[in-house]
Amino acid sequence: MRNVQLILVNTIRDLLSKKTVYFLLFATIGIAMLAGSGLSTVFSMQESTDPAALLAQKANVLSEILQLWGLFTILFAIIYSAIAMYSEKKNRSIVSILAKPIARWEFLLGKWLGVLLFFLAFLLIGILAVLVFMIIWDISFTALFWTGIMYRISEMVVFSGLAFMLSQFINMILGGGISFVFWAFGTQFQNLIDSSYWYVDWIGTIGYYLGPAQITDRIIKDGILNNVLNPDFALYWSVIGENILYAVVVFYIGAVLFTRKDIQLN
Amino acid sequence: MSDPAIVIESLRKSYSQGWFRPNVQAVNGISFSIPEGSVVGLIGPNGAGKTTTIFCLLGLLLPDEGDISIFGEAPGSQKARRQTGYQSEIFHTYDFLKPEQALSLYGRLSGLPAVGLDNKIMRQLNRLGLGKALDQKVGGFSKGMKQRLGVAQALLHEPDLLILDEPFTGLDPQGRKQISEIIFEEKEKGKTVFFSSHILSDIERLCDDVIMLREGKVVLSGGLQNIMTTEESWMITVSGWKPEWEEDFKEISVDNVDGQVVELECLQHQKREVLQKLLAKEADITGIRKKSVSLEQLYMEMEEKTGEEV
Repeated sequence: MRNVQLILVNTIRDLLSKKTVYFLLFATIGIAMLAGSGLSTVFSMQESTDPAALLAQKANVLSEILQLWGLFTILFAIIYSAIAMYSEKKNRSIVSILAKPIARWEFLLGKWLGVLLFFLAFLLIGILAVLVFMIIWDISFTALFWTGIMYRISEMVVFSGLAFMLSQFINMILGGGISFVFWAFGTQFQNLIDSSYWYVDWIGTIGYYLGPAQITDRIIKDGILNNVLNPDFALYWSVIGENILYAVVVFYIGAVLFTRKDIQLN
Repeated sequence: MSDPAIVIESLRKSYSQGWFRPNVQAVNGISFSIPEGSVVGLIGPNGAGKTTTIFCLLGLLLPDEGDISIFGEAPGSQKARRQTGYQSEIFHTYDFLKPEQALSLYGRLSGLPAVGLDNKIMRQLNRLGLGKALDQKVGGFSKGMKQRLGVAQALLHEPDLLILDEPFTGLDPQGRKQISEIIFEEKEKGKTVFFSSHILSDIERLCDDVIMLREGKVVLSGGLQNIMTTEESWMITVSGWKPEWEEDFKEISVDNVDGQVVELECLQHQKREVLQKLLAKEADITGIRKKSVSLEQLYMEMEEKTGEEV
C-alpha cells in the first residue's frame, strides 16, 4: 500500500497546486452568503417565538447549508475525478510513473483516493460547521442525522468513482457527464420506465438498473428536526452499503480492464 | 557471450485510428536481442517505431504478437521494471515538485527505502549538474534541466538496464557531454544501456551495437564497427606518390589527399596485387585499413534504399 499512499499524497499536492482550493473558497463564500440570510433570520427571531417554528427554521438553514455544500463538493469531486487521469496522460507524467515497479491498480487507487479524500475533507469542513451550529443551538445529533451524513459521503464515493473509472475508457467529458446525470437525475429514471416511446423506456430502464441507488427523502433535515417516528434505517443503510459496494465493483472492473489496456497518451 | 538483457522476437504492434479507419502498423515483426553490459543505439526516422518498441519493453503497450523478455522476465512485470530505469523522450513530471521531491517520489516508487534516499538523490542531482536548482520547482526548469532530471530519476535506483528515449534532446553541449559520460560510466559498471537518438554522431561515439528501424521494421542491426566497415573495400595510404605510377593503378581509384600522399581504394580480391605492385615500386605504404563509412552516410543510404522499396 506504500505505492498507493505515495500516489495519493502526490495527487492531493497536485490538486492544491492547481489552485483547486480557490474554487472551493469561492464556493464557500457563495454558500456562506446564501446561508447568511437564513442565519440572520434565525438570529433575529425572538426568544418568545414558538420553539417548534424556531427549530424548523434552524433545521431549514442547516440542511440548506449542507445541501449546497454537498452539491458543490460532489460536483467538484465528479469533475476532478473525471480529469485526474486525463491530465496525467496529457502531461505524460503517467509514463514515468508506470515505468516504475508499481501495479496499475495501485496507481489508479492512489489517484482516485487522492481526489476523493481531498473533496471529502472539504465536505467534512461543511459538516463540522453545521455541527458547531447544532451545538450552539442545542440541537441533538440524531441517528437519522448521522445516517444522512453517511449517505452524502457515500454519494461522493460512488459518483466520483464512477466518473474516475468511466474516464479511463471513454472521453473524460462523457465519463464525467454520465456520472453527473446519474447523480443529478438518478431518481428520475424510474419515471421514464413504461414510457410510450421505446427509447425513453430504454433510457429509463438502463439508468434505473445501472445507476447507483439514491434516497429521495431529505434525511439530514429530518434528522435535525427529529420529526420522523420510524425512520426506514434498513432502507437507508442498504442504499449506503449498495453505493459503497457499487464503487468497489466499478473500481475493480475498471482496474482489471485498465491493466489489460495500452497506455495511450493524449 | 553474455546473456541478453533484452530479447524481442517477431514483435508486432498496431494502433487503431478510430472507427472505419485502417490500423497503423507501428512495429512490424521486429526481432533483436541486446547483450547484457552493452550500449545499444536505436535509430530511425520519426514514426519508425522507436518509441512504440520502447513502450512495449516497458509494458505500457501490449504487443499484438511476439515475445519480449527483459532479463528473462515479461515486460511490464514488477521484477523487470525494478531492474529498469527509463527516461522518456522529453521528461514530463509534476511541475509543482522540487527536484528533490520529484526524485523522492520516483525513488520510493522504485522500491528504495526512505533511509539513505536523500543521499542518493543528492548524489544524482549533483552528478547531473542540478545541485544548484534545489529550490526551483520543476515547472520552472528548462527543457535541458528536465531532461537531466529524467536521467537522474532513471538512475536513482541503480538499475541494471537503462532505457533512454532521445536522452540528448534539448541538451546543450555540456549537457550532452554529461549524459555521454554517464552512459560510459554505466557501461563501465556492467550496466546495459539501450537508447534511441537522432544524433548519429552520439550513437557512433557511444554504442557497441546499433539497430535501425524504418516503417516498423529492422533494416539494419549489428556491431557498430562491423556495420561501418564495408567488407569489400580497403584503403591503402601511400606517401611519396609519383604521378607516373597512376598508369599501373588505372583499375582502382586513387585519391590525392595531400600533395604526394594518396589513398588507393581497392576491393578485397585486388588488395594483394595492389600491395605487390606498390612494394615493387618501393612505395612508402603508411597505412592500410578497411574502408569505413560514417553512420550518417549509412543511414542516408539505408533511407534511400528502403525508401525505394516502399
